[in-house]
Amino acid sequence: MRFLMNLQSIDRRIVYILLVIAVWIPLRWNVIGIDPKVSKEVKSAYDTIENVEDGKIAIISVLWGAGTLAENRPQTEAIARHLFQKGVPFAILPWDLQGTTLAEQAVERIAEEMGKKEGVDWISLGYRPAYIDQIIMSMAVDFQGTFSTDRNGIPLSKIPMTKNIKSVKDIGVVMETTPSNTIPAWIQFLGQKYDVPILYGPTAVMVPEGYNYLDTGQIKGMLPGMMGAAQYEVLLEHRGFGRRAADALSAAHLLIILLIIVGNIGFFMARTRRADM
Amino acid sequence: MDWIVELITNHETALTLWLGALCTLGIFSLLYKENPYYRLCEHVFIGLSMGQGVFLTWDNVLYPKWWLPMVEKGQWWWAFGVIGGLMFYFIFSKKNVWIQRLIFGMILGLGAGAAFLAFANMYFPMIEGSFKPIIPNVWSLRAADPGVGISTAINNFIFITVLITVMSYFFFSIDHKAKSIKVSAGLGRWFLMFAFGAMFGSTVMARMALFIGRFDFMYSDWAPIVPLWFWIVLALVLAGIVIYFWMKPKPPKKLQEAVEPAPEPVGPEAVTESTEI
Amino acid sequence: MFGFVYNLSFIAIVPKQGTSLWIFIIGSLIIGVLFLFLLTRVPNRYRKTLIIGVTFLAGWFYFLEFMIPGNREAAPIRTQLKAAEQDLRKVDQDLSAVIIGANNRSVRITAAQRHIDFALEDLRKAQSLIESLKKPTEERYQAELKKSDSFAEKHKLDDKLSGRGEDGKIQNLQTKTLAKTIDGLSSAAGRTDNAIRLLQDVRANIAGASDKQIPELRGAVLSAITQTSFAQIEISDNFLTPYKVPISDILQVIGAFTVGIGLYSLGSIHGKSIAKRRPGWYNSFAFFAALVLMTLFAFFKEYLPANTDGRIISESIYKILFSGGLAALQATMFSLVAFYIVSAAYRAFRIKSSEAALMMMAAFFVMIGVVTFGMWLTNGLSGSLTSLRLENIQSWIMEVPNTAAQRGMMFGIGVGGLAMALRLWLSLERGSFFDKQL
Repeated sequence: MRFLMNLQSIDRRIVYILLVIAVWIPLRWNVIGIDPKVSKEVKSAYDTIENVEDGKIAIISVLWGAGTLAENRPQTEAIARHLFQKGVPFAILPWDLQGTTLAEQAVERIAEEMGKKEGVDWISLGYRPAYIDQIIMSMAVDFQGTFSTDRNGIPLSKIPMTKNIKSVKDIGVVMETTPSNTIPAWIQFLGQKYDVPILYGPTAVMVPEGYNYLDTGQIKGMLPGMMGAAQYEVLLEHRGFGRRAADALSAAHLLIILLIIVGNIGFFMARTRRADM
Repeated sequence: MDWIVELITNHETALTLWLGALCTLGIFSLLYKENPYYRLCEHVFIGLSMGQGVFLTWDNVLYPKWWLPMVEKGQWWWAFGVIGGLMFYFIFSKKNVWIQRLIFGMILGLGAGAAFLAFANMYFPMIEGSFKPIIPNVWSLRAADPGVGISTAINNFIFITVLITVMSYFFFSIDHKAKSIKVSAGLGRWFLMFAFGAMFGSTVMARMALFIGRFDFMYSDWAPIVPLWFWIVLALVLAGIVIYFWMKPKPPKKLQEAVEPAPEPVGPEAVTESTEI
Repeated sequence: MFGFVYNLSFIAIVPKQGTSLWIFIIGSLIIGVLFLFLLTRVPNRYRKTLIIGVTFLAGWFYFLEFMIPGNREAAPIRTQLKAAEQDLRKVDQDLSAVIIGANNRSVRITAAQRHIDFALEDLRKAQSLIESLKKPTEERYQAELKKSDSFAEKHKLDDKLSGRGEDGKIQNLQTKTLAKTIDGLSSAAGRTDNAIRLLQDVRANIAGASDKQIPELRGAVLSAITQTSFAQIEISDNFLTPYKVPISDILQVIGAFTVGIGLYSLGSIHGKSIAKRRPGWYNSFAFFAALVLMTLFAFFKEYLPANTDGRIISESIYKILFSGGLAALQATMFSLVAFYIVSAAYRAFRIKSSEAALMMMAAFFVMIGVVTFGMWLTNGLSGSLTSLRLENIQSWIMEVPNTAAQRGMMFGIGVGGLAMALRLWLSLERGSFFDKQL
């Protein structure tokens, strides 16, 4: 009885160690070993990119920084990989100090692996400090005027990939990878107004809200957190961080559920005892 | 000079991993307790972040958008941009702080003007999308668009019920005294729990993913390059720390309780990210 | 009205070069500083009025841009296209009814035929209107180009200063706007053409179509609707739309200058801490060291001559500092929360009421259904039991009750946000920032 009651007050450091062990085991050994099932929203994101019209470019908006690296980077990588495979040129549009470099590094790596060239298959538009609403509105009117140059200072009118990109009608799809509530800006000022398909790569925290935009068709697809990226990797038949870490996530969730149950057992025991007395 | 170049360029990856590991351990040391190592890492982080900010702001924004047009294209009027920027700096002046409010007023005004477009594009499709058919027109369990099958109709009915009851819960313009609205708001509160549960689950997933990302770095990237002697030294140091705290005389029990109060079990509303835990 | 707004930027604003450029820049700076000085002299009682005025005026830009319909000449085209779109929506309704097996099939088909005819008529009218508008716009564009050329000649501007593009045409706000209008008209014509072709095809096949072919025809009608609505968007710009670009430029530039505010605040706090040898002053020293190293090497890697030792080493050091320092620190700080959330869930998530139980249940299904473990657990369920798989329960919770509850909350947030925007715009907002003594 006393043991059960003590279950509600395990030292926090023991809980921390349990978490480390729970995450470590699946990364070391392949425990469950099945691939995540691809959900509707991920499949429709995939299909949206498959159907981008020829001659249009894609935009990957990078709102994330190192803080949500583990969730947003696999999403960015999966989409970039798909766009490379499909031959749709894309521009990275970063809004975060660290995300700028992190996303560029990630895409550089994939580009090198797949033999793609900067300026032809992808560019980075360089860091934008803020004013996402105004920049999106301006970009819809005049793409080249809004950004002027790419990250290397080359005018967009001289880059093979963007020299014919004038305004919103040359943008085939926008992927927003973000840890914060910025998807409304894309929906309000680009998606709804000009009928551009918007894809959403939120961190899992933002996912419940994301289903709302999916329901109304304001976004065409979503990669919910790291698991979304893992599902996308399944579609691409590529094994990246998402798929590698999927089992570790299972273990962590299982631990948290067990801990909640254990805590509640202790709580009920203590309450029953108090009632007895 | 050559040897420095060689040393750094040849060992770039190893140096990055080691610095990354030291920084990671520094931050994680907070889990045990607040300590000078963590403080140092915190300050270094702010410094690095600011440095990155200064560089990117100049290189990606001010240089292409301000300096180039002004100096290369002769558009001297961009000099007034400095004045606009300077207006923010009146935040440091006690007497003339209002000038900073002038420029903020302009930005707030621009944002407020765009809010109408934003509202229309964001919420009109949502309102439209909420009028879902609740009477099936095809009497089969599953029916594809444009048919409304039985299961779709049931889901739509649940959707509308939840939406209306939740809205009534948030409708504060009338007193919740009438029985109908009391029942409806009560139901709404129940349904909200579904959303909160989903949000909690998603938040757990997001946080776990971030930790897994970090752990994966330590385990898959850094650990393989660590020599054996380092592990031995690390184990000895850790053991030393543990023994030190073990032997240290403990403060009297009463005082300890005052510092660390016993966990107070509370309802779901208390499940937030608390720094105290 | 149009001409006035377009020509505003021609009032004596001429790009300069060489010494005169620097004279102008310095002159502008002096005027700007004088302006700031004058602002500091504004009596207290006028200050609030000035702020309110500026806020109010700024708000009008995007508001008007949203409210004013697109340019007047294109209005009849939009009317025709809109009419066509509405007819096509009726066709969609009729075909949908046929697909789900309504009993008045032949009546519906006839109605669909009639509406397609109407839509075709409207689209053809729109097409001819577009063609007739193209020519005068083209002429205006040529005139504008000539005007810009003579302006450049008059002020002896070279290609760079006048903004001449690779095609030899001067690109300024006016010419760009007109070029975009022409481009929009051509695209609209193309889209209308597509829609007409799709509809002609549907019209030809609809009478004898079997039940299996109807969904295909409906698909064609839906894409015709998309084409029609796209065509409307292509010609929807009004005279304020082009000014969105300079506004975003100005905001980016003045926003970028605020980087100094952060630098100054942090610098002064940590500078004082070092100067006064406050406890932990060495941390402040570390802050400065990190700041200086990061800034220097970032600039070196970009601005030192390529392929020199300095540049190569700077690139390496920047990468080490960025990936090993900055990114690692930030990522770890965020991942700390994982530990806190486990501990918090364990210590505080107690089932004390039915609401807590409900929330727990939803959280359980979401947590378990989204990961591979949950998928593995119920992998065996098939046939009619498929919908009981954990991942399907999870997606049902997310898509039905969660979405509806979220939407209920969002409606509240949306109305609140709009009210807030109105309060800000009209300077009715109260609070510490807005009520501060001026």
